[in-house]
Amino acid sequence: MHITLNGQTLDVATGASALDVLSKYNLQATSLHLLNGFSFQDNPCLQDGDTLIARSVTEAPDEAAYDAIWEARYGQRIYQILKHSRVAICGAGGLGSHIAMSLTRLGIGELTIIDKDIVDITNLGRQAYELSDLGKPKVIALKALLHRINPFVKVTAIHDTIDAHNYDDYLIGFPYILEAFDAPENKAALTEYVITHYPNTTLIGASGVSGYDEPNTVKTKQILPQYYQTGDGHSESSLGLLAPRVMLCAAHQATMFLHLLLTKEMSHDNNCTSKSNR
Amino acid sequence: MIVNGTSQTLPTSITVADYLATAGYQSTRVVVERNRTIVPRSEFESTWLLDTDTLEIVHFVGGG
Repeated sequence: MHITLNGQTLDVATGASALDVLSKYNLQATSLHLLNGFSFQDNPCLQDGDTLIARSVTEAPDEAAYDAIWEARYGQRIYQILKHSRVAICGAGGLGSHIAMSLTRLGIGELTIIDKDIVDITNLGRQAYELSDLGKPKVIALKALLHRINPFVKVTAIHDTIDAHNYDDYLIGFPYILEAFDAPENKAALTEYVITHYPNTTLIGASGVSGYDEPNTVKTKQILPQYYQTGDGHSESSLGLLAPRVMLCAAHQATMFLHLLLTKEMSHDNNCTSKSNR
Repeated sequence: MIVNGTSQTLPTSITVADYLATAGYQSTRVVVERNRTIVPRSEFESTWLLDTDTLEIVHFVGGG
């Protein structure tokens, strides 16, 4: 039967075990062993098509090794969809910074992040920034933070105000845009522009992310054919922007993006079986 | 006229701008779709509503 070991295809005997194969190639002493992207205890028997990875647990992977790990874990189809995706995030505050973090962890291919602000201490009450970021443009601080998690995501950091004068400079051609602004006027203006001028773009935005109401009042609804909105629709920022609820809303937006991306892409697929569902 | 799924009578001809004002919306904080087409903010004052219209008014609150 055939398996891959650190990216190389090998012919192994039926019934071979993971440790058998690792020992044969002098990899048994490495500190991280993954079978199909997951750590294992014991000594599992291998099946045809399995993927083994053996590497040092402390060593940061190069891009090929990084991709191999996630392909093994999610399946090649899903990971390749993520890696070939490009998303624009308008706003790098409480919503935008957390959306960017979670998409980065997914292995998204490209992110464009736009925000005019610099980091100040009040931001740390809900945004992804740290004390060492104080005074820096948010998009610059965020890019560095994202690259400490996944150095392979291409990040375009735009430290600028965007409005009808320059949306087209930055936002044309994105299949998905995440609206993560703070001011309601900016939310309305971007939403109107994207729906009117980019008919092939899906916009996922937010309205009503403040306060400390119980979490199940946050919903993500399809408001218009190409526009989804997260939040409770009514909680004004005067109620306070508090980390758990803001992070919940950011995760809602990112989850809706992930759902739409994968269900849409995979509905185009033929009926072939992937390894992802072991 | 149907607004956000609810039927409303339109007693007199009214612009989008005036309708928003009477309904308590700030025109800079909404997106208006009339009969499945977005009405640009620049046309709120010059677009007259009809009794047969279907409106979706998307209202935004701040915070993010």
